[in-house]
Amino acid sequence: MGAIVSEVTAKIRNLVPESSGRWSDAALAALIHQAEMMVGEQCDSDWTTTEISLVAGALYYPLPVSMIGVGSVVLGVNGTDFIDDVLFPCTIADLDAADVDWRDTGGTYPTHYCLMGAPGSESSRILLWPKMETVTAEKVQITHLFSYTAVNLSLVARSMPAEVQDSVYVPLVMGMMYATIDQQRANLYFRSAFEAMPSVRSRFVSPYSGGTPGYTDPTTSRVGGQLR
Amino acid sequence: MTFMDLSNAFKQITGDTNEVFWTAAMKLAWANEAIGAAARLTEAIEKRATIISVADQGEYTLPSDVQFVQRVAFDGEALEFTNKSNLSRSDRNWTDDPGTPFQFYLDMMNGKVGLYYVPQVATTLSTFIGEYGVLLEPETGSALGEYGSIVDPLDATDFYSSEYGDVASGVSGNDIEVFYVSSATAIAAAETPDLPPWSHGLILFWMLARAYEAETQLQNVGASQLFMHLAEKIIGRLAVRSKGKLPKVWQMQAGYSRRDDDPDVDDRFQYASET
Repeated sequence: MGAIVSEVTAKIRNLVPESSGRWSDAALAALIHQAEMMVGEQCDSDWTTTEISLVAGALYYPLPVSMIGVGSVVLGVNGTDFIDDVLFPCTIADLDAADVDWRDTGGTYPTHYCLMGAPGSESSRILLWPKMETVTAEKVQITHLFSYTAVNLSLVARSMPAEVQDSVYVPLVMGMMYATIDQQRANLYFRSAFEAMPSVRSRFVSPYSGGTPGYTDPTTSRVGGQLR
Repeated sequence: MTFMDLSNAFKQITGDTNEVFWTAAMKLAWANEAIGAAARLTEAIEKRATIISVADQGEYTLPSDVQFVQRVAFDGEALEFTNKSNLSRSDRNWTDDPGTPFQFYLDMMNGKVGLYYVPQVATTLSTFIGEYGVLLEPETGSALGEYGSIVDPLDATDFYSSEYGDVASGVSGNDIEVFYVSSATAIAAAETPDLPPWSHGLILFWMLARAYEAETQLQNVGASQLFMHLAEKIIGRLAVRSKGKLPKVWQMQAGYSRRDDDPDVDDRFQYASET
């Protein structure tokens, strides 16, 4: 594992030794950020949690802009330990079909959630149903796919295995660098990166239902032990 | 990411740091073109608007950013979709017939939503329909102010009349909720587009595609096509994320009728794998 901004920059400098005149470190960081957002979305590589404090009578809550997609929504009755119910995903059409008056139906705890808008857009919302009649300390914890939204210290600290840097990040950045100079070469880089993404993604997706996603070394068998 | 952030990345990639070939106005126009196209193609922006009904008024103005309407509810209950033609065939006096609305129609030429029957009684709104809550910073536990604030749901004198928190006081009437796919709002230089930040690369690549398409000394049609291909690829991913938000294993239990009087709502939901 290594920091992507510093290590990918170094790999690019090795591949294109005379690049520093045209491509400053800031320019490469901008390209690496674009690559990181593509990798994060397509490879399901980084998950985090966000907690929402529930409010009596409320149905709709905003979502963080760093969110790419929702993995699970879990209720924590005491607001600290998220070991209570897992909320069921559904659509507003499902709610309409189940209970004509669902909006005004209150309950002890929410049991279902719906999403409005693509997660991550500022207007996106999560609908938690039914609304709670009274609230003490209840929260829900959303486990979601996370994206690095800016070139900042978090991105600088972002690390990835060397083989992922080599197979995806470096060709993506090289493709963007060569797009205006040599389109055929740029196309080859892009094709290489996009073809590697499903394989990389398979390493980030947990094979165990409900397991914590994390990177699995490609030389290690999923059922334990080294591959021969 | 604001337009200025995208513009800076554009400058880094093109090397046009002094905006010799492409002005800020050109880039902003291309950025807004990309935002509009992405919102239209992906349906990524969904909103909920609230309109307060008025006695004897059947038609109400839709929000100006409606792309298409998904659902209309009166006093919390979903209305059936119909159109003026059907209404005029079934009820000669449909524009004035009083009662509790159970159907709605759309007049998109004039930006209106109409209710049938025409609501008569304006009752005091007693149920809170706004949205509340704060998100907590995962590491510090402090509230993130930009995500809204908690208001007292029992205080019926103030409520959020729209999802962005405009406060209206002393309201009486039933509420008409309009759930819709929204078009994108054009941004200014310091503003952030209402698309997920992970997809903002599509705006950058669209700007680059248009820049190298433009007839300048740096015109490069091949580069333009390559950048447009990248932009379209991200638009495709955003469409997937927008239209496939929920886990694929989920579906409503088959055969349920909304006329069922069984009050145990939870029994009507279950995972597909259990059916």
